[in-house]
Amino acid sequence: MSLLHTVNKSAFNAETLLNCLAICQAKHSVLLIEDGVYGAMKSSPCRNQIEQLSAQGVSFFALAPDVKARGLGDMLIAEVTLASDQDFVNLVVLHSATQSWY
Amino acid sequence: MTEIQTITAPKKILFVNTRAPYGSSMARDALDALLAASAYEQDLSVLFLGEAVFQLLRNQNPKAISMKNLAATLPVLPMYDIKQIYIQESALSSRGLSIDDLVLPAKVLGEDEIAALMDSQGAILSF
Amino acid sequence: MKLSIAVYGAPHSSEASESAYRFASTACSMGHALLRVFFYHDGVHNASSLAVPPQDETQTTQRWQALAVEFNIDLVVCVAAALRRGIVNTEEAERYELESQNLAEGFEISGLGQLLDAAVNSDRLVSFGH
Repeated sequence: MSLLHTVNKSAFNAETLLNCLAICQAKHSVLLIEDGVYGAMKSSPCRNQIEQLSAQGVSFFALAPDVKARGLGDMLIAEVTLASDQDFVNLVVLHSATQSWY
Repeated sequence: MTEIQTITAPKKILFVNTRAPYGSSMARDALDALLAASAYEQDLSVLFLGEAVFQLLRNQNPKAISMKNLAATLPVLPMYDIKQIYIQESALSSRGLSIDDLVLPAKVLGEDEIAALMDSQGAILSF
Repeated sequence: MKLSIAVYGAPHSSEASESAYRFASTACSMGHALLRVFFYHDGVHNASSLAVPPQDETQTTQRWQALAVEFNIDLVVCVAAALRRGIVNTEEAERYELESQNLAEGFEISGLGQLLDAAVNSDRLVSFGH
């Protein structure tokens, strides 16, 4: 059974995403929501960790309405997939439990 | 015909704390939720990550800031049958703390163990 | 699946309530059963009948009410958190001899145990905080 993480703080001014990534393992998914989507930018201080963890089997997503709201459309790390509201629900259903980081 | 009662096994439920005490009420609110949960006879665990390790620090005295002492309540957890108490080792060491600085016995976990703990839960309550 | 949600953020002040609502309404339209939305911490403010957002802004309380009616969802507000923040139903207002009550219709005040109860009886529980 594997975990879904949600993170709602920007990686540029909070350690929230870093703290989350420290716990991530293969088959976990990370969904960035609200201000958390800033952590998915190519300029993100967590970019290296995201790319490494992605190679190790962690799936990364950014909630599309939040990305669009913030004008980040074409600025995201390749390893981060845009997720719709329905995708969010599906992620919750697919994983055994959800840890929300805020 | 005799009614067959299905006995459901207790669900594994993990309370995850990430906040320091007093600066926000999340630490207190999480503790209240945990104590209320103890009445439901489930398989409860509580985990202190990151800033939340400060909740367990000895010698707290919030009288001068007009708040209730969180650390004074924490030691009652085992009396409420909440004995699976875990703390993040790296959060302690990066804050210059050790288990000797804590008000109650907690099992110290590395990141892999924390992931495994979370992966084994039926539900997680995030505070 | 049977889902439940915990909401710890007040309307307007953070995005928690918005994210929680969208998740709730999406899950319901996808055919999932939303057992309970549990409002705790600052989330109790979602249940105030006295909030008046500007006309061109989200009517947070009303949309929770409408969703609950459409999909038969329990909207539960933690009594301890609510009292601290001045969200009171008639019973509490009388008990504490307060000027009036302000719990919006469709919301129910109950104990903190309802959060754990939701976790036990749902397949999945998601928290939205700030």
